[in-house]
Amino acid sequence: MKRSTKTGLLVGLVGVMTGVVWWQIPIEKRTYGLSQTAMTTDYTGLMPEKVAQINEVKKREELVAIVKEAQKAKRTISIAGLQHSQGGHTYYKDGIVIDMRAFNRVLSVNEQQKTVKVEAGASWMDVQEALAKKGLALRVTQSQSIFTIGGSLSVNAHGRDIRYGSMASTVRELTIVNAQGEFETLKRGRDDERLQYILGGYGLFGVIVDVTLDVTDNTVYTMHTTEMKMADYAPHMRSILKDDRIAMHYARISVAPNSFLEDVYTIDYEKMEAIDHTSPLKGESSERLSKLGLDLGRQGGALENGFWQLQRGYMKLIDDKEINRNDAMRSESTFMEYTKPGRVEVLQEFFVPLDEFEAYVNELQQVLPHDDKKNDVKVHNITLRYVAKDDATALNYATDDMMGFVVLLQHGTSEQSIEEAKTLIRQWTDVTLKHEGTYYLPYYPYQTTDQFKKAYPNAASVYDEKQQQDPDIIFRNYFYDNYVKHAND
Amino acid sequence: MPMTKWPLFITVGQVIIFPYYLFWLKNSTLTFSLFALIFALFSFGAALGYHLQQKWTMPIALPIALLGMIYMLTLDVESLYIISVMQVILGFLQGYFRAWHVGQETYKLQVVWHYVIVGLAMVALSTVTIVVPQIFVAIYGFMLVICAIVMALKKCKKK
Ligand SMILES: Cc1cc2nc3c(=O)[nH]c(=O)nc-3n(C[C@H](O)[C@H](O)[C@H](O)COP(=O)(O)OP(=O)(O)OC[C@H]3O[C@@H](n4cnc5c(N)ncnc54)[C@H](O)[C@@H]3O)c2cc1C
Repeated sequence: MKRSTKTGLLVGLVGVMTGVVWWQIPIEKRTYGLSQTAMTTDYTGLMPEKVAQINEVKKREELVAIVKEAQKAKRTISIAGLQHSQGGHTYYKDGIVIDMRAFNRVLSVNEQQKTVKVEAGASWMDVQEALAKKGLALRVTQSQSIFTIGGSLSVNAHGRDIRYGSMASTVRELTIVNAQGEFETLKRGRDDERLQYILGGYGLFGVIVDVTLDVTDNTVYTMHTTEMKMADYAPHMRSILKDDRIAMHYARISVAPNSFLEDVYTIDYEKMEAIDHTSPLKGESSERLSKLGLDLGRQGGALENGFWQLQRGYMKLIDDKEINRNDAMRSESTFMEYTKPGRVEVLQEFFVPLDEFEAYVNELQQVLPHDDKKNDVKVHNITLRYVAKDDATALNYATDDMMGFVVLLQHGTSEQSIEEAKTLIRQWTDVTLKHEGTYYLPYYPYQTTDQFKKAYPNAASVYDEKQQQDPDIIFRNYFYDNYVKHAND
Repeated sequence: MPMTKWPLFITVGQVIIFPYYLFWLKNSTLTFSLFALIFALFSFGAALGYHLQQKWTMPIALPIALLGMIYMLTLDVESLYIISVMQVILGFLQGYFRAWHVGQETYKLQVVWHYVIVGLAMVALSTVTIVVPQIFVAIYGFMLVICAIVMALKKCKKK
């Protein structure tokens, strides 16, 4: 065999084999969830607890029966969707957990009125399946579709849309089973006073049974990606808010040591004329490549700089590409999974008014370590989003038009590591509060009660309403214990 | 140490350290089939390294230093994607080193000593309890890097 042929063959063999190995590397999957026999946890596994009973619900009447039974037995009820909340929001020690996941039918899609009626245990994926066929799409949802409708409304979630306000405001009507075990139907415009406690109410004001949501067209967008310095971001945001053609937006700010909180890239979705009635919903793609990139970033230091460069390269690749609204609302999620024993990856989100953006980031640059390679608490990613002022919920994190900083962090699971994470996050929260900001509540309760009360001045009214509507605190979870219970202290 | 003895130190060290390296690799790869596949990657990398040494030569201190650095990386790396790339590089460097060593006059003489020393070292190591194998691997890696630096310096002096 010729020498050069042999070299080529060997190089090919190594290349093919590397491909085979990469294909064989299992995509990690967190093990978490409800368990009757072992400990119940949510997405992070940080707060394992033994529950008394898990009731999987398929019919609405079962919900009434469970509430009545709990009243008699003097047991608490917690409600679980897909359990992506991270602070024990979906269970309680020795309590009953209602597992909503099988209660997941899309009941009707009204093309004329552009609404969808859906059972609360359905995921956004289920709803998107039904809407896409009719050329429709959701108005507001998270950036991924791996959550239930009930769970999302109960945290008043947000995502990439910049035109339709809060998720809560897209609710036309909903049915709940209240703490007395009765069905109640609440309508937007008529029952806003009640709705403000249920939406963003973390399962403390009844079980959401079904919901009618306003939807919109599955418009086709062109993605525009731009790189800029941090100081240019707020002006960019203001200019796209004035430009009606831009429907959705998100951005990333660098956490790499050599450009920490200085470099930003943005993705703006510009409306095209077309509405997509035919394309199948996109599935997960390139998850291995994305995982490799994120794994590089997780190493910190120079490799994290490399990861940021990779992301910039990817952004250039997708510039001017088209995507429909449904697909823009269902980003990949599997590549984010992280399962190393003794470590955990969690989310935190901080909001500050757009006008405070630059001053806030400047201050964060002083407070946060630029290179956390050697630290126990590591910041892997910060995504920026616009969150419009919300008047529809009592526990309101968007008291103004805000910029959300979605932070992906990693830390150890030992007590000491959690204390270290608390210290950093509390410092970060203090800076946020100083800039008239707030923080998001579905995550692990690193913050103090004092910080909670400052961020949510309405918390006391939520506490009062809870005592009025559910004096026996039948609907209870660790969110109640960690936060709401102390609102009047 | 005279220049001719370095290869012996390196080959003996490699064999001694390899069980620890394998131990770390097995822990990292989770399943046996993935472990075996990643190992195949090492072998193909070694074949390529052996083959290319006959075509392109570089100062031997360089692959030795790189070998050392790869071993040191075991302390820091968890991602299977990165580990698989490390395997290719490690195989390549070992193949390259082997091809170079075989061409040395002292090779045949050293092979006998190699086996004897490895046997004795393994007996000694059987008495040690290993909790974190990558610490051993990384220490050896560090020694290789030092070794490569000293080799390079000696070569410069000679010139
Ligand atoms: C990887 C990841 C990405 C995320 N991305 C975003 C994002 O882009 N935007 C954003 O806003 N948030 C985001 N989140 C947070 C997420 O939106 C919330 O945690 C949301 O609650 C998850 O929905 P779920 O079905 O998992 O709810 P669960 O965690 O199951 O429940 C959340 C809360 O809702 C209550 N609840 C659930 N179902 C009902 C019901 N039928 N009736 C009454 N109460 C109910 C529960 O009791 C609990 O208090 C993200 C979280 C993760 C882990």
